[in-house]
Amino acid sequence: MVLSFNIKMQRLKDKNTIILALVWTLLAVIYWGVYQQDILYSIHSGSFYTEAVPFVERVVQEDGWAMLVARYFTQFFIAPLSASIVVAVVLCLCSLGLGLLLNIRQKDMVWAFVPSSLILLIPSVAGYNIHIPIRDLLVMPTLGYVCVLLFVALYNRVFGENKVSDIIEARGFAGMAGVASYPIVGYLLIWFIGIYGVVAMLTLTAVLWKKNDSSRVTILVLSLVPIILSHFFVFDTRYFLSPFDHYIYTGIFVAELLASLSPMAIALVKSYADLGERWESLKWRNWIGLAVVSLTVFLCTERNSGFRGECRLFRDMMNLDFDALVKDANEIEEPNWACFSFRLIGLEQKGQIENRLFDYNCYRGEYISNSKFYYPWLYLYAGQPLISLSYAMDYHLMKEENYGNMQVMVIDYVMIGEKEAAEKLLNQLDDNIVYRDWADNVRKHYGTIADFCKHNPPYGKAIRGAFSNNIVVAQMPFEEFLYANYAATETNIRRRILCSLFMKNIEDFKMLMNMYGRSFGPVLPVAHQEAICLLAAQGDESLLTKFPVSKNIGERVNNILKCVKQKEGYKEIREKFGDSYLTYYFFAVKPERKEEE
Amino acid sequence: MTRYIRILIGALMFMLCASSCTVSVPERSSSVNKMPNIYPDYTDIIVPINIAPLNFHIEEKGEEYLLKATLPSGRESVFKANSNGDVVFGLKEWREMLKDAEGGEIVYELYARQGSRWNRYNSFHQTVSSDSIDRYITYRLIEPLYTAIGNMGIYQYDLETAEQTTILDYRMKTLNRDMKHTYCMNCHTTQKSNPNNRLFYIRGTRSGMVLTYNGEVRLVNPKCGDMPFSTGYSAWHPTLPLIAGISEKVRQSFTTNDPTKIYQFDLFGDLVLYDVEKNEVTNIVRTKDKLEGLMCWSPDGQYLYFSSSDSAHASPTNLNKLRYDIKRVKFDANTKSFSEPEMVICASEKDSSVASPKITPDGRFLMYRKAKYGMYMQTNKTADIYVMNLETKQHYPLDSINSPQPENFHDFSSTGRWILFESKKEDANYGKVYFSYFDSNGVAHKPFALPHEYPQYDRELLKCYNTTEFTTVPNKLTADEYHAILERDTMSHPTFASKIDSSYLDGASGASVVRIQK
Repeated sequence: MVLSFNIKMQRLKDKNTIILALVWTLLAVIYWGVYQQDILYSIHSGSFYTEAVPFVERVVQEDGWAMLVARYFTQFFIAPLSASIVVAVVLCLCSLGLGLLLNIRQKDMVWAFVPSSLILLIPSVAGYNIHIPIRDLLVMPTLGYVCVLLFVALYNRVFGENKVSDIIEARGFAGMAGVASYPIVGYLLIWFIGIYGVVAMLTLTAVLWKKNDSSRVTILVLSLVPIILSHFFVFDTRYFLSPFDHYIYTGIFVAELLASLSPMAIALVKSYADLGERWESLKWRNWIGLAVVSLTVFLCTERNSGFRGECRLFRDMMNLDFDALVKDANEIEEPNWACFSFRLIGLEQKGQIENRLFDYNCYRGEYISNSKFYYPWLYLYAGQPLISLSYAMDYHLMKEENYGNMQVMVIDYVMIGEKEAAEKLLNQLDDNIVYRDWADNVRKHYGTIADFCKHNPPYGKAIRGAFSNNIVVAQMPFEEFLYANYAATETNIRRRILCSLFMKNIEDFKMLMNMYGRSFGPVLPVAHQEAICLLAAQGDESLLTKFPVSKNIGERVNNILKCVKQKEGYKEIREKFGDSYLTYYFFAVKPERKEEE
Repeated sequence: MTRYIRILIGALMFMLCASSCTVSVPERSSSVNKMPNIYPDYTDIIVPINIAPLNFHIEEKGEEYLLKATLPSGRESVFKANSNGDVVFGLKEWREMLKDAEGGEIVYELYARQGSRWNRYNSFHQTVSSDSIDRYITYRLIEPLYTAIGNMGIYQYDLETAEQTTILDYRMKTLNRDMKHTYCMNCHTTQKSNPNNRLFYIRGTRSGMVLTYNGEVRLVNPKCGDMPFSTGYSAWHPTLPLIAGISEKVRQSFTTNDPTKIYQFDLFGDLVLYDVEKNEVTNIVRTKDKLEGLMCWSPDGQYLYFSSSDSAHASPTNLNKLRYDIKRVKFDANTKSFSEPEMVICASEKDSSVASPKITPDGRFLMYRKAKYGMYMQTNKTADIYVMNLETKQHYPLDSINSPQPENFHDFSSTGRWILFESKKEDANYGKVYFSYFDSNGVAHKPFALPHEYPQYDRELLKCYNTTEFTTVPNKLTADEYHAILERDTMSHPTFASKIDSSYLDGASGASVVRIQK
């Protein structure tokens, strides 16, 4: 056995294998650490790690320990590049281990990297589901993969000589101890590592199946028995499908199931030589294979610019980097509703909301969404901490805990002056090595709201205007953000006028301008002047006679209206007049109030 | 192989011996002349003889902690805190301590080591009362803002072993693919004379009462006759198979900046009586210009005490003007009829509001909540617990348990010697359960928090205890069985035995028509 092991190790020392492993690792680091770093950050913020007691309740559930370990590592995704290096190295080692276990030849070693490549793909294809931290994407499958290989390696080591009699003898011994004692293997595997426990048993079955020609049926039955019996003896039938819960999300289903089952598929291929002479004579097949695998990973990656942009903007917002937020938002080719909302926050912080709100590529944007994931932030920055708190609490409990919500709740509690409640959450963040400093920093200045705002300008700015005790039925965050539904301060009145433009409600705009238009002073914001011209073009010149409109703006509006009449497309008009309110007015999807989820 | 087994057994024996070796307090220590900070605060309290170990976390600086407990007999025990600074008593040892100290005091002395120096804090005591506390409490756990049903659940807690079991948990649904319905659940209550008879309400796609009576579980939708709305909060008659309930329309309003955060209020409220055996509903108090609400039966079952407001309609603009009084009606068990309401506590005249009456089993004291407005006072910071001596008619606040934050959901144990209540005094948001000894003079003593094996459990829990109540027997059905019943059983519809008031009905369709000011 020792001799055989050394021969296998020699295989891994092959120069080509080493280069292949290094290139794959490098590609994986670039893929995650550079190309997908915002997605990694989003995964981190949607996860939560604490040693606090309520978490222990989760540990004893199915997948509990695996979840605990996965979440511990996921917190380091806050630094995507270093995290991607660690994940890439672990997956590379797993691949080499798989190659060793399955006796894959040097020339075909790229096969061993297929499962790892598919695991790389899982978080990306999850798309919007990364907001639903049902699993800790990437770490969890990696951990599962490690467990599978360790289990198979251990089993192979014990029954390394592949004698069916030995296996039966061992199983028989276990059987003598009682049927229930044997399924405990399956139970432990499935309970602790979920779906990967099943994969481990299936992979093992495949490995044994491949090695033993004479007793396949026996091996198959004996390997599957623990899985089946463990469900009947140990599990409540209610839990039977729980490891598959996350498969309701299509993207994860395809990638994770393929990644899980691919080691077994590779094991089942009897000999790569059987693939034919042409395959066997292909000299560069490892490299061709790697190119195919890389291309597949890239092509299957979620490349929706709105979604990727959303992750980037979220990261900018969490880092309180509002310059970068607005800049990144403007660079997104096809922004979605979340991008719009983040940009709104950025503009608000930079004091540019009135001048630049409609200067955006908004043709495709379905801006009004029912998704509540970002509501806590929107309301926080809109200066409505209680509504923000309510949504954060809602999301926190409905979709499991996550750092982002914990932070929002802390800030909300501080803003409403309930530092004892903030402290309760900060104590939990103390358990997390990544957020400990953040918690300490908040503590330094939360003695008074004024002090806190002074040292945290973005939050201070959120508390604009005076609050009143109006009852708000919160349904439409963008509208609420623009038109804070409380005291009639100048800021709020101006927001309300902006909101009427946002909602394309020109009649409301007219009424508000008549009432409050004087508060703008001698020069109205460009969008407002354009809206006055638009109103005039529709036959109502009452505002035009009341407020000054620049000659240039009037001419520009005429030009836009001419283009619209000539039925020029959005692209052309956007190119010429992208920053105009009229472009928004004529082409953006009209915001509509939708029903609650 | 035998050698390894011997080594293993030897190691086990050594560990066993090491763990049982007696720890002793340091011979030299310096007094710091202050009470130790411990969480929860279990200093100088009265505890029941059958309470679970009152484990606590030490909040004083130190690298090692020792706790010396001195019993009335003079026996001393020394406990070593674990590495987290938690003092965790063994259940058996704790039981023996309480037994030894019954009727007397356990005096504790805490030692903390900093470097080579041992600090000794002032001693504190726990008086062990021979009055036992009801073994179980039931409660709902919910997020403090009540905006989503989330992971809501109703739970039972064993006060002797500090173990929580689930009665019904929303999370079960996510694990059970056969469940088609979603539930909001609340108001778990039991019958005092036979606690196996119990009920709770579910809301959502199937709305109604989950009633356990004589071991049989039944789903009941009590809305019948001219009742415009189904029932919510309920109270079992102490001995008869009767349940009083509020036919109500509850609403919540969320504020943008008011620290109250939520105003919960009734748009409509009348009292009805559900006869469990006859499956029949009758009116108790039916008014068009008043709101009737939270109620309780007197221990002899002859009176029903309830909250009542003269404000006919509540709306978001007048919530802080909504005042409730406490009234009562006399019940004739033979005819199942009620007298006209009579005033018991008239708070509205003094610009305050009282609600949620509860009476001691000996009938001497009435405990209630008092605040500046409203009946539901979970987030009302002015809410405090008061007592009325029914013999002397004297009212007084329970200062030892009240705080600047809301106090709610009080209940008496079956002996009347213990009270439980929910308080948000710790952080103004996450309500926790406390107990207090209520002596025969109607005085409540310093409260103590619900004990847990891990003493900081409630401090870290991001949920609020809600609708807590004592019970003496455990719930017999498992959550799975409840879920199966909720999915499988059909809803029973009682008959309405009172005279139908046509003004409540739509003449054409027979449907209720109640005009509610929005």
